[in-house]
Order: sequence, then C-alpha cells, then structure tokens
Amino acid sequence: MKLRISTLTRDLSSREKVAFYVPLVWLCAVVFLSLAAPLLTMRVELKELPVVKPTPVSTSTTTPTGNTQNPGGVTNLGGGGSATTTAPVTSTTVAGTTTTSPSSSSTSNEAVTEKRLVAVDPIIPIPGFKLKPWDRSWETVKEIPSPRIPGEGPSGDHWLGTDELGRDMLSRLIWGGRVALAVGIVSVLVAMVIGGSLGMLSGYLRGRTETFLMTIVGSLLAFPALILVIAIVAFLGQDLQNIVLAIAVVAIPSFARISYANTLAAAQREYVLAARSLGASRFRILRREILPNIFLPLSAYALVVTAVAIVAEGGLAFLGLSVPDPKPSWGSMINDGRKPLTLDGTWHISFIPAIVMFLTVLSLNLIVDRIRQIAEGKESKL
Amino acid sequence: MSRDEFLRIEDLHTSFKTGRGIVRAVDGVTLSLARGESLGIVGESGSGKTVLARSIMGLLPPRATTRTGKIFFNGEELTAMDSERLRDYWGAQIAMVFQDPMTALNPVMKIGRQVTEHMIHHMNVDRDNAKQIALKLLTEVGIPEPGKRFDDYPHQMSGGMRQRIMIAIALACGPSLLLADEPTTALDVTVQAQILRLLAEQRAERNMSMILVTHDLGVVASNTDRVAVMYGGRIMETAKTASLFANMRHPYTKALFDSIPNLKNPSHTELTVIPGRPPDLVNPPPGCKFAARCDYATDQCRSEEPTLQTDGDTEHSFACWHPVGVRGKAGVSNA
Ligand SMILES: Nc1ncnc2c1ncn2[C@@H]1O[C@H](COP(=O)(O)OP(=O)(O)OP(=O)(O)O)[C@@H](O)[C@H]1O
Ligand SMILES: [Mg+2]
Repeated sequence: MKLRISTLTRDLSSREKVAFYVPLVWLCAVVFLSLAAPLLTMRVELKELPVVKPTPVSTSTTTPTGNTQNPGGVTNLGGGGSATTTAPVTSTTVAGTTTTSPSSSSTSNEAVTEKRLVAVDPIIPIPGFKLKPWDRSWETVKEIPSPRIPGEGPSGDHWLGTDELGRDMLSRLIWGGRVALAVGIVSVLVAMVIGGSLGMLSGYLRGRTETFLMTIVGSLLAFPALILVIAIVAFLGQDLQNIVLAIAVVAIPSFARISYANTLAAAQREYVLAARSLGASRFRILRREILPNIFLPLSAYALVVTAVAIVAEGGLAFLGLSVPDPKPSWGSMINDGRKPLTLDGTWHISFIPAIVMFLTVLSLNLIVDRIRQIAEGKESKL
Repeated sequence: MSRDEFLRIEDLHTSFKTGRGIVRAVDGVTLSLARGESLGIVGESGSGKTVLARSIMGLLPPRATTRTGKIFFNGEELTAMDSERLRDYWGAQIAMVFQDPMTALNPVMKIGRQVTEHMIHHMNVDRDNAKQIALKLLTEVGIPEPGKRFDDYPHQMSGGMRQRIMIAIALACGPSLLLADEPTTALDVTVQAQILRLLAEQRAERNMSMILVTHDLGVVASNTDRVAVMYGGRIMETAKTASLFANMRHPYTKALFDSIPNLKNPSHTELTVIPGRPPDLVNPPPGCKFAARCDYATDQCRSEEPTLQTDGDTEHSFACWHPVGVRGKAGVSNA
C-alpha cells in the first residue's frame, strides 16, 4: 500500500495540518542538516603560524588578526572565526596563545610562531555568505586557544553561541544530530527487522517455534533495559556503533511482541486462508499477505521507539556512556552544560540541545498520532 | 455407484478438540461427484457445510484437528498427500470461492496482483503474460474496463465486483473442481443472481465440477444437478435436484423447505420455523441427530442412528426411519 503524504492529510482541518506539517518540516530539517554536516561545517586544525611583529617592543599589546599572514589562503579562526576582522582586538597574545621563539636572538624582526585554529578544508566562496561558517575543532584540537570565549551567547560568528570550551554550539548540534539519527533510525530499523521477523514467525508458525522464540523475547523483556544497555556498552566499548547496537537489542523484544500480536490477528483473516487455498507457501503468505498488513502498526510503533531511543541516548550521555567525549551528541551537550550551569549567562549550553531534543521527540509523537489515526480508520474499514 | 467418479469422499470425519470437548463437525460423510457435475450442499447454520468443504481441500486449522476417511480426486488420494504435494493441487486443480468477498481479498494488495500472483506460481507464466490472461479473465467475469481496475485496491470496489474478482482468482489457473462456500450470501439479491449465472456459465465452459455450499434451497434448485442436505455433520438426504424437490423424504429437508417464503402462499402467511436448536456437536445424543426437533420422532429415532438408504430411486437416498413422502411402501434397502 502506497503511503502518500496527501492521503495522510486528506481530511484534516487546517490546524491539524499545521500540527502535521510543522513537525514534518522540523524532522526533515534535522535529517537534512545531520546528513549535510560535513558540508556545513569546516574541519580545522591547530597550526603554528608565523607571526610578524613589526614593533619589537616586548611588553606591548598586539593586534593578532590584523598582522597574521595566512599561508595559502588558509583562514585563521583564532579570533572568533573571522579572518577579515580589521578592528583592533584588545585581547593580548599571551592569553592561551603560545608564542615561541625559535631562536634565542633578540633581533627586532624575529620570526615568531603562534598556535591558531586554521581551516583545513577550504571554504567555498559565496559573496556575502559563508557556506561553512561553523567549525568542528573538537575533532582535532584538545583545547581551544583564546581569544575564543567559552560559554559565549549567540553572536554573528556563533549563531547559537559557544559551549563551555568555546566550541561552536550550532555545529556541535548538527553533528550531534547524526548520533540521534543513528540511534533513532539505524537502531530502530535493526530492531524492527529482527524483532518484527521474530514476532511474525512466532505468530504465524505457532507451535514450538512460538514457544521457543517468545520465551527468549519474554526473558529479554524482563531484563531491565537500562542495565542491559549499560552492560552492552561497557562490555563492547563506548563508541557509536555499540551504542546503536545496545539500543537495538533493547528494542527488539517490544517489536517482536507488537508484530507477534498483529500477526496472530492477521493470520486469522480470511484472505490468508484464501491465499493458502490457492497454493501459496508459508513464506509467500508471510511476505505477501501478512507483512503488508502489519507494516503500518509496526512502523507507527517504530516512530515511537525512535523518540524513545533519542531520549535514551540522552540518558546514556548523562551517565557518561554515550559517544566518547569530544564527539558531540545532544545528550552529551546537555550534560556538558551542567558544569558551568551556575555561571551567569551560560544557560544556553544545556538549554539549546535540550530544546532541540524536545522538539524532535514532540514532532515524532505528533506524526505518530496521525499515522495511528489512519491505521485505526483503515482497520474499521475492513 | 457406477458413474465415473471424479471426486469420491469415503466416510469423512472431521473433529476439533476444544475446551468444551471434541466437536464432531463432520461426522461420517460419503459423497461422490462426476466430472462437470454441480453438487449443492444445504443445511442450516452450524451443520458443518464449511468444515466439509475445507476438509475436502485439506484446509483446516492444523492444531487440534483430526480428519479421518478417504478423499479421492481424479483417482489420486488427497488424504494421503503431504502439504507440499497438496499445494500443487490447491489453486491449480481445486479452488475455493469464499463467502465474504469483503474479507477474503487482501486489503493492501492491488487486485491485479491478487489475480496474477498464483498464476505466475502455478502456470509458469511471466508477469506480462499473466497480466494478459488476467485481463481476459476479468472481462469474462464481468468487470468493466479491467485495464483500469487492475491497479485498484479491494476497498475501491463494490461487494459484487469483489466477488467477481474472487471468482476470477479462483478460476485463474483453470481448476477442475470449484468449491464455492456460500458465494452469494454476503451479496444483495440481484447481484446474487448475476454471480450464480456467472458460476454456471464458467462451469459449463470449462467442464468444471462444482460444490456449491449454501443454506438457500432456492439457490440450490436452479444451480445444481444434485443436492446433499446436511444436518449435525451428517448427510440426511441426497438426490438429483429435481427429484429431491419433487419428493422430499426426510422430515428435515421438508422442514427446511417449509421455512423459506413461497410466493404461492397468500401474503402474511406465517413461515414455518424448525423448533429447537441445532444439535450440540460435542455430546451428540444417540440416535438420529434431528430426532429432538422432529415431529415424527419415535423411540427408535432417539436410540438408533439411521443410515443412508434408498427407496426405489437408486440415486435418492435418505437417513430416516420414518421417511415422509409417497414411496413409503416400497421395499427399503440399505444403500
Ligand atoms: N476451528 C474450529 N474449532 C472448533 N469448532 C469448529 C471450528 N470450525 C468449525 N467449528 C464448529 O463446527 C461446526 C460446523 O461449522 P461450520 O462452519 O461448518 O457450519 P456451516 O454449516 O458452514 O454454518 P454457516 O451456514 O453458518 O456457515 C460448528 O458447530 C462450529 O462451531
Ligand atoms: Mg459456513
């Protein structure tokens, strides 16, 4: 059965349409931004750049951005992400920037190097618009050099501000979206395929298969989910792949139960008997008669689990068990904000990822409601 | 019997194990059917007609079901085959039309797909050929503009159309035996007549045998060569359709016939109803199953179960100690 969006919204009032399309647009945006993350953010590295000091006065303040020579068009990101700033910056070179003298000589025009954040993949120049305005310095850099301001509020350079280490929040949110996408889509798909087939087999074949499979599913369901996730992640190691796997394992039994119940009902239907009377094999009946009829309830449930999985990742992050540290995920970003929460003006570090997660989960639930409504309508039509 | 026996059923019993006990839904049925013949099975609700039809195919719920007796189809014993082997018969040689076209079509599969699916499987044709055959078939069963309907879903069609689709699906692989289980019960009267005519046409054209299950004696009268009247899982009376209607011997058949409206009666004539309820199939009483509701029942009826016997006409047999009707005096012999 083809599921067109127009059939989903056919008989909706305009207010209900808003409640359907706005969440849909939000989810599409999240998916799109996450997938396009490498295009939207630039990779940066900390590089030693020669600094030419015109005035060799040892105690004077310098204007680092104005005098830096950028080798080969590399953008200097040390001073707030902009290489074109001409206004004198009042910060001193000392703060956070290591200035080294390669030779002990004290000639006036000595070559001094300075550690700065430098973009390594070039920006595509579009006049008036920086295509890749957000950096992902956390990939390569342990500590962000000043004069980046940690916990800075939204500004022109950092639209959603910076986090407690001075990293760009927006680019971290976009990259964190990939984790949400991985647990929300990959885990759920894996769980849906495995759990769904287990449930279908038990529900259609019955007998010993049913007893065997449903016992396994039942005991897995009886195991505390959080403990199981923690155990799997702790045992296999803390990386994205294992987190996805752990959440999938935890979600399998509930998918199996849902598909089992729906298969039991579908197998009683007369069209299944009709197909059998026409000589269809068991496998063909499962694939052609039962699967299409349990797909809608199963996928509506999958969207619910997607929301739960995204929140579960947040829970794991709170326990420090999500993707390892410098890599961002929404959960770990919320967690990061806990530390400086007492400082003034840094509420956004936790708040923004929390809002993003909230909106995503809300959108999923709104859409599930609509799909469920349709599934029920179709049931009553049978 | 000396007629060529296309289908022969010998002493078929089908029972289900339930919480209440063993339900004997089919309790010793012997029947035969010639090639191209049409047999009607009538009986009130719960008399075991559906179970009989499904037992003939072997399409019974696998758990808690026992079926004994023998079924020969075209000389081959169906009851001795495993499900793998049976699957080659199902759909290809024996096909079934179900009672309710609303539930017997898959709601999420296009009807074209439902017609061609089994053809591709049984007849080794490719998708395009199957589609050509299916379009022709849909025209035959009276679907206007089948090309346009090919991609419709069942819910886009009326009940009558869906039953035509069901018939097209059943006929797709050219079966030689069609089991139609109340194919018109869910349809309104005008559509009923069309569907029955369609079945008759197709049967004649394909020299196909048909078992038509119904509770409507009117349907039986005009659509079958022979009739078997069923009650409580047993055959009570069986005869050529014409001779049965001319001369009903079993009180149950008579009661069944009296309970349908007759235009010859003046209006507001009260219909005769059969008193009582169908027998409990779990603990059937000894003797004739109909005895409890029969006007003519005697002590013999309540203690001894009658077997099918003939009385003059060898093709007309009935299971009754005290048959009604004319030929009561002739020598009674066991069939
Ligand atoms: N799977 C089953 N398990 C237990 N009992 C069954 C099962 N299928 C049928 N029966 C019983 O067998 C008996 C005969 O049922 P059947 O469906 O054959 O009646 P029918 O003559 O087709 O009636 P109708 O005209 O209402 O279709 C009924 O008493 C029914 O309860
Ligand atoms: Mg029935």
